[in-house]
Amino acid sequence: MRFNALIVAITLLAVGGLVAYAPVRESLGLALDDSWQLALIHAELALTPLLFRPAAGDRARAFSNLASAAACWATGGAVVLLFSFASMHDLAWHARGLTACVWLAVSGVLSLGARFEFRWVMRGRVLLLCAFGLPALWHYLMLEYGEVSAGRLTSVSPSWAIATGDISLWPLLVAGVLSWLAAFALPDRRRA
Amino acid sequence: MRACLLVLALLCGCVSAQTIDGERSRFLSSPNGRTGTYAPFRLVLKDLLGVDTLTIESGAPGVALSRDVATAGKTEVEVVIPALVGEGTTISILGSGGDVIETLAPKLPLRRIEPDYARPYVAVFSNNPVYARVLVPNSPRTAVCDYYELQEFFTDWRLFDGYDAIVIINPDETRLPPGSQRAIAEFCSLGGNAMILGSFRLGESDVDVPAPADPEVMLIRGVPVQRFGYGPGAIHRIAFDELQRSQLAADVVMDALRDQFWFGATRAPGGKPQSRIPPQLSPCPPPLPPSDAAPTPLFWGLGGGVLLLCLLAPLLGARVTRRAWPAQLVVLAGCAAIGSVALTQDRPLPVFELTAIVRSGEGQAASQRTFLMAENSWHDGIVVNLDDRERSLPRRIPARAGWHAWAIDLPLVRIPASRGASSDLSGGMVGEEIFRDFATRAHRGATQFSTSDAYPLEWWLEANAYRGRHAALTPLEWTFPAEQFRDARVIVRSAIGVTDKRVPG
Repeated sequence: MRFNALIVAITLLAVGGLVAYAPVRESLGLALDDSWQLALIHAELALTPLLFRPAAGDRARAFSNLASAAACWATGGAVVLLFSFASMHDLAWHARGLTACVWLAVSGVLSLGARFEFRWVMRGRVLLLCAFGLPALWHYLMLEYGEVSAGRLTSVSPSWAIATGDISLWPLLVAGVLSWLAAFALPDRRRA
Repeated sequence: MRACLLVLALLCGCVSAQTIDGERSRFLSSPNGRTGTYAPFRLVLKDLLGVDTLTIESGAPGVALSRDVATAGKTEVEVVIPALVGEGTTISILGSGGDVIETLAPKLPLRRIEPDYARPYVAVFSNNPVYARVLVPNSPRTAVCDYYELQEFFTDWRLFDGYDAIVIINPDETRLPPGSQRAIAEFCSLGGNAMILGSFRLGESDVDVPAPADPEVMLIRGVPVQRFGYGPGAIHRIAFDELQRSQLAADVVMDALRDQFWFGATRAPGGKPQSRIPPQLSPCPPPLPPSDAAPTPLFWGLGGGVLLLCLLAPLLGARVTRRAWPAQLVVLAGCAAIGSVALTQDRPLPVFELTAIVRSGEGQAASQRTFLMAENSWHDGIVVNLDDRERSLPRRIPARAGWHAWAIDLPLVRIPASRGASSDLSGGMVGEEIFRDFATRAHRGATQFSTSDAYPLEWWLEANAYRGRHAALTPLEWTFPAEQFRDARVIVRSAIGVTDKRVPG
C-alpha cells in the first residue's frame, strides 16, 4: 500500500483536530495541554491494527510491507511530535520505543496474514485488537471476581502500559520479530 | 614512573578519604526535636588532608540546603547546619562536580516536641550550664529546654527554626559571635521571642535590620522587664543583677516568656500556637485551569509538510522505480526530520502559583510565609545555599496530584501596601461576624479580600481564631520577582497580611 503513511498522517491529524474541537474535548475531559498529545498517542496505539494495510503477495511484498510499516511509524511519530507545542513533557518522545514495537508487531502479524489470504489479515486485526484491548478488561474481571491482579498483562496492552507508566517492550518485540521471521520464511507460492 | 604512580595513588587516596564521623555527628537538640522543623545538626568531618573545600548538603524531601566549608590545612572540621527533624533527612558530602561522596542518615531526636501554649520550646544559651538549668528549668510545667554554650550561639535563624523562644544568659558580658544580631532579628521577625538576661553584647555593629518598637517596661514579680516588640515577635531584656536579687527569678523568666507566647494574656489562648511545622492542609487556592496552547505557524507548516511528503514521495517514487520500498524509506527519513524540527517548537512553561501570608506586629519588622505550588514538570526540589544573603527556608507540604508544594519562610521582609481595609479578629469574631461567616463571605467575594485570598484567609482563621487571639487581617498588594524564574510561568494568586495584636488592656 503506497499511501499507507498518508492514511496514518491524515487520521492522526484528524484525531488531533477532533480533540481540539471544544465540545469533544470537554466531553472527554481533556484540555489543550499535555492531555491533547497524550490522547493522540493513545489514538496512534489503538488505531495501528486498523491503519496498517499490508500488500498481499510474495517475499518481496513482505519486505515492502516492512518498509511501509517503518514509514507509518515515522509518520505517526512526526504527527504526534507536532503537538509538542502544547506539551510540557517529553512523553511523545519517550513513547517512540513503544510505538515502534507496536508497529513492528502489528505489521508483522498482518504481513504474515497477507502471505496467506486476505481473510487472515482480518483475523490478524481482530487478534491484535483483542490482545491490545482486552487485558485491561480481564484485569478488572479478575480483580472483581477472583481478587487477583492481572497487572502483568500491561506488557501486551500498549495503551494500558502508557496509562500506568509500566512500559515493557519485550512481548511486542518478540511477537513482531517472530511474525516477521515467519512472514519471510514462508515459501512463495508457485503460479499454476 | 612507578614512584609517580604511587604518589598519584596516595594523593587520590587523600582526596577521596574524607568521611563523616557518624558517631560524633548528631542533632544538638537531642533528645528533643520538633518534627517538621529544622534543628541544629553538628556534622563532624574527618580525614580531610589534601581537601581545600567541601560542599555539605542537608537534604529533606523536596529541599536541599547546601553550604561550602573551607577545610584547607585541617584534618577535622565541625559544622553546625540545619537538618529537618523528620523522615527522609540526609546529610551528604558533595564533590566538586556535585556528585555525592558520602551520605549519612542521621538518628532523629527521640522526644517529639509538639507546639503547646503551656510549654514553650526554648533554646537556652549560657556560660554556666548549671545556673541555666536552675533559671530556666526543663520541666513539664514550665518549658522544654535545650541548653547550649554561649560561644556556640547560632548566627543563622534557620538553626533556631524549631524553637519558640531563645534565652541568652550573659552576666559576664561575653561578646556574641558576628551575625548574632541578624539571627536574633530574623528569628523575632518570624514570631520568635528572644530573652536576654544580662548584657546584650554583639560581635558587630551597624547591622542593617529594622529597629524594634519603643520599649515597654513591665514589672513581673517585682522585677522590671523591658519588652521591645519586633514584628510578630519580641525581645525581652532583664538586668541580671535585679534578676539575681529576686527570690522568684525562674518564675520571672517563665512569666516573661509566657507574656509574649500568650499575647499578653494571663492564661493560655485556645488552640495550638503557631509554629513553622508545615501544614497538612494546603492554604493555596485550587490551581487555575491550564491555559490553552495555540498552534504556531511552524506547526501548520510542518503538518502540511508531512501530508505533502506522504503524498508526493510514493507518487514520484512510482515514476522512478516500480519498487515501493524506496519511496517508503524517503517518507521515513523525511518524517524523522520533520519530527526533529517539531521538537524544537516553543513549549508551555510549567506554572507555579504563589500564595503569601505576611506576618507583622509592632515596629517595621515582618516576615512572610510563601506557599509555592508548582507543576510536577518544574523542579522536584528546591536548593537553598545557606551562605546566601536571603535566608529563606523551604519545606515540602502536601499538594494535589500533579503538583509539588512548598512553604517557604523568609524573615525580615518589607510590609507590602494593602489592597483594602483591615478587619480585626478578636475572640473568634471578625468584626461583627463569626470568623467562618466572614470566610464564607470572602469566598463569595463580598469582602475586601479577593476570592483567591479567601483560601489562605479561611485556612489561617481555622488555625488561629481561638480564644485569646487578636489580629488584624489585610489583603496585600504583593509582588514577586517573576523575572528570576525563566523556567516557569509565575502566577501570584493571593497575599494576606496578619498583624498580631496583644490582648487589649
